[in-house]
Amino acid sequence: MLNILLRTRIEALLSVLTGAGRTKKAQSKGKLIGFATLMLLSLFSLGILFARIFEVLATPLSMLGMGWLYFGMAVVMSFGLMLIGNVILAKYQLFEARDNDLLLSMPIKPIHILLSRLFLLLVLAWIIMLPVAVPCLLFWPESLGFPGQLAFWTVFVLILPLLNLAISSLLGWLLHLASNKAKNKTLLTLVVTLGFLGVYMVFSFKLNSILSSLAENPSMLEKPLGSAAPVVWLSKSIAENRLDLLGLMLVIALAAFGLCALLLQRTFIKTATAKSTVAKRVYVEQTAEARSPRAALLLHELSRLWSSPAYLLNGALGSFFTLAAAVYLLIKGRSLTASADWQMISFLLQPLILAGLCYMASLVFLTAPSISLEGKYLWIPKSLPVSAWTVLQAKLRLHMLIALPPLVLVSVAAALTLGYEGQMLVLVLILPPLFGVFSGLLGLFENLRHPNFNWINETQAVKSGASVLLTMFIGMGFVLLPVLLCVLFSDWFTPELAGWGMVVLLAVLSGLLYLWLRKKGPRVFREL
Amino acid sequence: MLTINHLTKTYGDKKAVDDLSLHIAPGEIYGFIGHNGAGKTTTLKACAGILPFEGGSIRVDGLDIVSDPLECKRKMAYLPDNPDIYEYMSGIRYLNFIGDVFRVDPAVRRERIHKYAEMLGIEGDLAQPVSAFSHGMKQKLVLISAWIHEPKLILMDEPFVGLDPKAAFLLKELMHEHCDKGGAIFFSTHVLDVAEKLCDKVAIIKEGRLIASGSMQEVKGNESLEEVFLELEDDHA
Repeated sequence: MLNILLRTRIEALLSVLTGAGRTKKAQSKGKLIGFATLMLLSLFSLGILFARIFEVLATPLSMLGMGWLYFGMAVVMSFGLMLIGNVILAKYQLFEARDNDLLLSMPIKPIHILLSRLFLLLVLAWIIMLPVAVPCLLFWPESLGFPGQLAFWTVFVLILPLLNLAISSLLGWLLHLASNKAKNKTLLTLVVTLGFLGVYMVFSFKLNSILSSLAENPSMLEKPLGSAAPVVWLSKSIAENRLDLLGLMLVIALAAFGLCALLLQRTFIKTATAKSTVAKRVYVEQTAEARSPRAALLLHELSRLWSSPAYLLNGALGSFFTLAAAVYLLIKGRSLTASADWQMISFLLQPLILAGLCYMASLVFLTAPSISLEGKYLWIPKSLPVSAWTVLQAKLRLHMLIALPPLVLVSVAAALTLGYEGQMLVLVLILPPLFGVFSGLLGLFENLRHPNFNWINETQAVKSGASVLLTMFIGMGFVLLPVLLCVLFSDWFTPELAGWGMVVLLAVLSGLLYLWLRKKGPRVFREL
Repeated sequence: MLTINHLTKTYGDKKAVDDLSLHIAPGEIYGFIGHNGAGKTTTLKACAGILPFEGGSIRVDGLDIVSDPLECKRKMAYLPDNPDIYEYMSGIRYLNFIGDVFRVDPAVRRERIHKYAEMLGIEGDLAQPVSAFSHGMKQKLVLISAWIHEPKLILMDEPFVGLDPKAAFLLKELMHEHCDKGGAIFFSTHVLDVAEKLCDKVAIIKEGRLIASGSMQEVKGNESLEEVFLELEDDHA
């Protein structure tokens, strides 16, 4: 029975990774390859970030004979990354999966259901770990000359996700129990996820200073990491090829996973079938305020966004960042520009900050999964006396409502505090909001072309839909392209020229996308 | 109230509905029966303006569903076979959403919600999120949302599935009341006893083609509807 369940999970995973089975039509080979390439590209871009860290640290730590510290950092970073990726997923996949009731009604042992789901999470953890583990190995000087290191590294890659899975599953379980008692589940999930992301962001912001401090004084992390025994054991096992420590860690990981599986198995049926214990809200009859159909549709889109932490956190993450950036600039912006360093390289920083603001705009893609999220509810907008264009407009308006105010705010904050002048001042005021408009139109366009109604959990539609990935990558491409052109052809391709080029390009593309959505979008929606 | 002329709908090479014609007059309760996959849901969805079709025409109160879909939809309500409604809304919020879209005056809306929710026994639950509703409760909520804007035509796909006996009885009452006021109802069902007692007219569909239609008496004669249905199914096998 476990075999059948595992096969189903593998099929589901492949379907997510390749974008297959999203619509009733068969996926073409080209699309399969394209989608898989996109997934690989996203892992690659994350890998680049970590490659930078290992590139800086590898040689000094190797020369000092502190390989354990190097691999210790890899352990901590990959563990953190897996934890961020898997805790919320474990909550949804293990305890809130829509097919739990169906599977529990079948002659299947609960432990088999649990193990098949844990297997999926394990594979995902392994995939999440690769952007850290691969550059870690590649930059370590000794790894290429000694095959044994590769063998130890391979075992490390297999052990760590197992240990991580035990902890993420337990945290996911606790989060599920807490959300069952919470009055506002979205808020709880939002706080937990933003907490994780906050730690990650602080780490990313401080990366440069951490790296330069480490390069000067590599032993600064020796004490804090050295006090975490399992980290030391695991890192020493790879750095020093210690079979005894590797064996010990393998036993610890297997024991932790076994204990976690046992605990979850004992409570699985009760947890998976538990009803929320929040007190029942009593209906008090009252006359509602009348709204126009347009306003009702927009309110409905807002309700959906607010009710779904996955949608909110993935689709509107850029808005959280943008708001944080605006507040940061308003508080600290002027002191940044007062420094001597700023004066020297402001010509470089100003365009880069502008590119960064555009990048944040590209991280808001509320429209990209909005059609897919209709899923089983698609009959409702189709049967209502509103045009398909009105339905599509509501999705666009939601995007603009959430994306544009923070973008306008951050643009104004940057213009006020970072000393932009002349053409750059105009560009910083119009480019990020224009990017936000483009991102919304592009997301809706892509989702109409690549809808996915076969999701079991809405996280699938929100996180891994082809439309989401395409919107994200096209947006990133539009940010990177002018930056690259400025770097490669700096003699004649100035930031101002790149900026105005982007304004024209985005305005034209936005116009074309709007025309397509207006003319063809409703027909495509009606035929879904 | 509803006129279907030579309706044809295909999925790839398969004809789900093949040259189907029916007329449902005001005041009629029209039953639509057939085996699983016969084309009932496809026909109902095409009538509701949810599904585009290749051939034929559908007119609702004289208006064409293709050229004037919004006006047609204002005149009717559609209840799907599965009551999949926005689970992230509360019951009352969903009803108000429907009321807003159909532009039902808030005071009238309040009165109707009270009437139908109390009748169906879910008034106390309306503040709960739909995700906390049972299948039957969702079904009742969809029923209220259909009646809230007093449509002329109601299309229902298996409306009795999931309803408790009392609610099923009340639904039959509501259907009669609606037709007595000049409205019309076109619904699919597998419960032949219900269809036999409730419907003025009945249509039997098999593999997308209409194999019998007319008044209940014309179709079943002196036999039961179940016997006629099984005979017709065999004859057209």
